[in-house]
Amino acid sequence: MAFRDVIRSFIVSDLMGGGAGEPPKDSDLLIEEGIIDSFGIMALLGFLEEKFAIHISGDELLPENFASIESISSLVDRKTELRTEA
Amino acid sequence: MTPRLMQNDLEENARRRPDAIAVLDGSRSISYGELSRLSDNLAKYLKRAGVSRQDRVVFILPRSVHCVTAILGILKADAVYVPLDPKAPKERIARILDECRPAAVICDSSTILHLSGISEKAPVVVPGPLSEFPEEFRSNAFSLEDPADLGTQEPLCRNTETDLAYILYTSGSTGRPKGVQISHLNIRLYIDWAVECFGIDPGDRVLGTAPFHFDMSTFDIFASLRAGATFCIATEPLTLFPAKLVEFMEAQEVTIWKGVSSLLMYMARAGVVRKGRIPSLNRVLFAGESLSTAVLIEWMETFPEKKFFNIYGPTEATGGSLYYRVPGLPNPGERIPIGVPCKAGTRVCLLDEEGRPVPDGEAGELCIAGPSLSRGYFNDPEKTVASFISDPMSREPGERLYRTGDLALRRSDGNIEFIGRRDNQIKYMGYRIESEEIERHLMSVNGVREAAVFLIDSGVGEVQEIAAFLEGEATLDRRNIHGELKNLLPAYMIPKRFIYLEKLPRSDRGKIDRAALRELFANMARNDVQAR
Repeated sequence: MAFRDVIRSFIVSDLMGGGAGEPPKDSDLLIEEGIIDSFGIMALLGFLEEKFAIHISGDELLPENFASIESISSLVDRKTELRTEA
Repeated sequence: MTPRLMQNDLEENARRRPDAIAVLDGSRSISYGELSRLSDNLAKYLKRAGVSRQDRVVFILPRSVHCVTAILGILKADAVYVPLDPKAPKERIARILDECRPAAVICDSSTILHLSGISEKAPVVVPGPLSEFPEEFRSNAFSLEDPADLGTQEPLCRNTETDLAYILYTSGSTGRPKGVQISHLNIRLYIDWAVECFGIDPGDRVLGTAPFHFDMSTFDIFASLRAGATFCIATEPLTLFPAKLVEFMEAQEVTIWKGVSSLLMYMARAGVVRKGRIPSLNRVLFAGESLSTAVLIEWMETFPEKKFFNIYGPTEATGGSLYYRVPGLPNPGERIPIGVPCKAGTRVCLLDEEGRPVPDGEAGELCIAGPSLSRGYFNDPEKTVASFISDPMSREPGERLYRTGDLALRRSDGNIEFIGRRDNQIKYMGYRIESEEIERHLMSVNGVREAAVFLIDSGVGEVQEIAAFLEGEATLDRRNIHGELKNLLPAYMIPKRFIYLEKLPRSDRGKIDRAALRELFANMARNDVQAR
């Protein structure tokens, strides 16, 4: 499964209560829509770090990196690429 | 004697320094003079719409300066403000509305949608222009911006000091939220102490990160207004992104902050606690739950120039009841005390199960007495009697004691240490949650026979999360469960992990053996079993 689908499935199941309503599209604004809130962000961080074995630092914990599934998955892309290069 | 009401502080500062900024939220700021005028208008409108003394008025608004206008307007109308969480599920909101029967509602175009059918029951006030408000709700609505003829007279206040100022709803173990009733006098005693103890003055800029439906906001709003300081509201997205929050704190040059411990931990985890940052901030008050000593050490080592205070206090005793000034770097193994009673007339005692005081060094239930105690839960005499007992130590008739349910001990130096709960209440992100409330809702889901809810280490930093052990049919789908809970409980109460067991362990008497479940979870974590 592509990163974005893995992330989407976590968002649907853990942050949106699963099943109900349409799953968010890649470019849907997750923070503005209230899908990611102060509880959701911590759950999401824990999930991303565990699932993709990355560490997301405070400098990366920015609205632009978490605005949409697209931006989260490109953050994960960058982080995992760095890891394979290292 | 004229009663001293919380809105008097606003009026006092509006007279002295009308142009000083009272509240800002990053996109809008409002002076003391303007806040006074707008809240007058709101009060006059509410009264005209039939709101009378001690009626409840609900507000449900995104975090902004409008929340403060709403609060002051409601108080000036002699009414009681009831803040609701715009993110709470509709059922919960409906339940609270049903229970407190508001005489009016303050909301905006986004939050009116959470209040199904309300506009037929109560008049609605919106902070912005009516033209932005959905058309179907306009007929029974009034805009705060509307220059309608409300007269120039200040609204006449008829409240006494023991009249209620707010009702805050907290989690209740029977599945029904409890409304804690707090009076003007309750708040005043707290603010009298806080403003003096922390030396808050007109030059201060008070950072507010707590939601208004949360007791922590009492300090933010009323200490600022008393001191004539500026209340700087951090909007919710800022609290999601610690680097942005730090930027906001620096841009607004905040000087004092009472924050929930989990946010201090989150900031440390995100790596934004760095030397040289937020130079204006000189007093950090943390509250809401225990702060890990390791995180406090990180903050204190990074910012040796700032002062740190641990504040403890249940909503039922209004804001903070005990406090502890952290004198210097604690030892890593040390528990940070919650300190000694603050506020005029507040007494605490530690009682054993028979209601007798325990000797120093031994654990007992922390009980609080004094004039800061709430009169009880709204429309719930049963729960009120269970939590507010008559004070066995007092010679004064009618003196009450609030049983916090927290276990604590008194050290030889007189400071009190919090050590845990005597029941299954948990603290998550500063919110008080009765695990039974979640369990009851879980058991209402088809196929779930038993449920036990815990706070566990998430395995990420110092962050904890809520987990539920479930006994039920093998076909249970976590998505269904999650989906059903989402309709019933606010997000912070929904477990992040569900662990299925064929049978939950039980004691000889048939009760769920919570200690065995804890052990089981610890083993699972050790074996790195994926519980998700």
